[in-house]
Amino acid sequence: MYNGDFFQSSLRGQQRVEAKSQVLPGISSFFFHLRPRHYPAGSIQFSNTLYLGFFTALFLAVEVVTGILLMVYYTPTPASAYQSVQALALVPFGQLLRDLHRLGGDLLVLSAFLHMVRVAISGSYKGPRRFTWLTGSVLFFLVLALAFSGYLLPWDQLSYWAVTVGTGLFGALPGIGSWLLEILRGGPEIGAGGLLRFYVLHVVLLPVAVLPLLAVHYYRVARLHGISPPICTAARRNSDNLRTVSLWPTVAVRELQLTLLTLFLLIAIVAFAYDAPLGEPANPLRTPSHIEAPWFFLWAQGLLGICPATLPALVLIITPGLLLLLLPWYDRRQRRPFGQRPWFALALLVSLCLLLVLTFLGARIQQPISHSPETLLDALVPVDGHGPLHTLAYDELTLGVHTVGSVRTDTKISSGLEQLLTFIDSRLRGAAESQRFSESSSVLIIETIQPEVKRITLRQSVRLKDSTAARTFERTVYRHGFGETSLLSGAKK
Amino acid sequence: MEGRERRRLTFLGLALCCLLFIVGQQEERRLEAAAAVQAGEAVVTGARLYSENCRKCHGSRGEGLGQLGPALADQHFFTGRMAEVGWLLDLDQYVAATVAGGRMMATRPLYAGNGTTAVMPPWALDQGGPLRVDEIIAISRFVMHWRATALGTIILPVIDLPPADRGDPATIKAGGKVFSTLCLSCHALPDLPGGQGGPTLAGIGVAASGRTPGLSATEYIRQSVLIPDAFVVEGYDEKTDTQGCGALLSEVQLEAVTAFLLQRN
Repeated sequence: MYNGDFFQSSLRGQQRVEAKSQVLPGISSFFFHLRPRHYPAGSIQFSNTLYLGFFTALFLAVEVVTGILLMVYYTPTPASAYQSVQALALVPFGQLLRDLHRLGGDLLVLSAFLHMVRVAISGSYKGPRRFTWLTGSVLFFLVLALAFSGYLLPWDQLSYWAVTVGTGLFGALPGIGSWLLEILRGGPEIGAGGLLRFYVLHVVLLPVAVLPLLAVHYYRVARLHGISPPICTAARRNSDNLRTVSLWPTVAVRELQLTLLTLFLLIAIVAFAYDAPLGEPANPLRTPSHIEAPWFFLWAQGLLGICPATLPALVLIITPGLLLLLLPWYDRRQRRPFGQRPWFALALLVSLCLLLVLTFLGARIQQPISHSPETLLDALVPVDGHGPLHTLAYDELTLGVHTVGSVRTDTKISSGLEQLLTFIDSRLRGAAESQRFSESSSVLIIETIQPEVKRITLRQSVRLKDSTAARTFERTVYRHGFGETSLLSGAKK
Repeated sequence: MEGRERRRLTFLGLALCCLLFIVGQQEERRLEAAAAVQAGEAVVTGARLYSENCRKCHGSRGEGLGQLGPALADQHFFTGRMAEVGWLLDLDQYVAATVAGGRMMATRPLYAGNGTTAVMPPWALDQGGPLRVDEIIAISRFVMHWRATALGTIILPVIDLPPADRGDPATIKAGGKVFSTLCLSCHALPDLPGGQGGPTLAGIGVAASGRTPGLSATEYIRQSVLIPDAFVVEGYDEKTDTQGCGALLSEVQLEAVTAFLLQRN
């Protein structure tokens, strides 16, 4: 017990009275002895677990390390957030760190999800592992919250409006909705207060919640009941459990090998094939034509698209989470192989299919297929972000006034531009076939306005079916040729 | 540890080291490329913002617009402007500072032509304008990027652009609506009786071409909307309270009303 003597003796410099509490030794013992000295041999067999728990922990470690380094450069204010993220590209290995953090985050969500599916298939959430399942489920939700809170931090149009819509869902909750919205956004809309709140959530509150919970989760898996191999290999598992392998060197070396291999693949991908996206800076005054949820919430976007009201949709979004949390409490039957649980197998299969279908719907919602002149222009020349006109190399943008759909005898036009004009023509023909236009014509004007800067104007004259007058729509983008010759930028862009 | 496991570990460690070495070797070139790309992105962002916010006074190509805004893409701007205003720092800082804070008073009086001077307004958010700091820097990068062409060291290729379709019936119809809504209180047309505050615009489509030497009919009408007193019709000398209507009209409305008036023969 701590008592007054302990503090007094500390202050007066007298000999310290040792605390007799078991709390501190218990905590230190917990952390120092998380890892057992010996493991069942089956725990390092790939086919038993697919190492999904290990990969989840590894990606979390990658996120922690890269995140701490990124914090050095990031400024969580609306005026500077976007610029500080953009400026990472000018810091040695800054872009690499950001790409690693983004890709690692996506893989963390994916591996955590697959880990849960694997555990559900093997039925390992039953019996003594119920609380482990509960901690794992909460960890999964925390990982989703980490990913969502981090999504806002680049402060670009995509993230700003996705989070605006995402947080707006909570406003539909009866009673506490507006209060919760205010807490999350730090005001009626996301501004300096909201960005700071998401930043604190992302770098302090959620990690502080995740790390001890992860320790408890791992302690229970490693110390209390071991991993849960598929039940069909029980005979082999029994023989494996009789045989143990030591933490050092067998388990540690295997984990080190996997870590090196994963880091090699991650770094190779981000160095040569992946760029973390960064759109236009966030502009609260300009709502983009398409708002896109993060990929792991596209299913929710799909659900919102087909659900007539927000509140039922919100209930449908939250319910699967609750069902997941309480799974061991309503599926109380004895653990059996997956093949002998037909109803559970069917429910899992239907849930996964539903998830895929809703994700597909969510992805489709952001790509409207309406053939109005405005949406055609949006598809070809989006106001925010890159469209087909950005895909051509700068040098392929041949100067001139190019009529879309005409037969060109001019051989000086680049092949890339030729393909682009054909693509635009096909979209226009698609619109014409939809009977929206009685006639239409388009020109693509490419001019140089400054050295290495071209202005591209797509001008579309249409006569709508229900109108006798022609209307002209046009949209302009600017392209630059700075750094186009760089081998590196060419390799990654 | 078995020999096979040890060899595998060594191989993976060496592979990772080699990869890091290759990435490290390329980092300097990547940084140069990233700096170039970001400079280009700033210029094209500036181009878009210039087109949205500055073009109406300084011209699409920085050539200046009548007496409303001075040319930015000419030699004088890059060689004499700093001395003219007594700016001691760099020109790009002058451009950024002027865009951000505007100017308290014009350095070239009588630009507005109506007894007042056309003064550059502030554009920075903290000065009451609409632009963020990075957007102001982007505009200044875009303006500064005219240096090579302004000084004649680079000559850009010119293409024949199709003229704006002012004969489009829809545009003329839209211009008629703009005229009825915003101009009719001061100006009248034979078929549209209006106010007497300004001269009648009967036959303006023909008359406009000869009013001001050097200005086409289109340019004259646009200038008159933006600066009504740039040319004062006889009999209206005393009416000094006229104000430019440019602030009332969007660029699309201005184009439409110009197209409408050009048809009034």
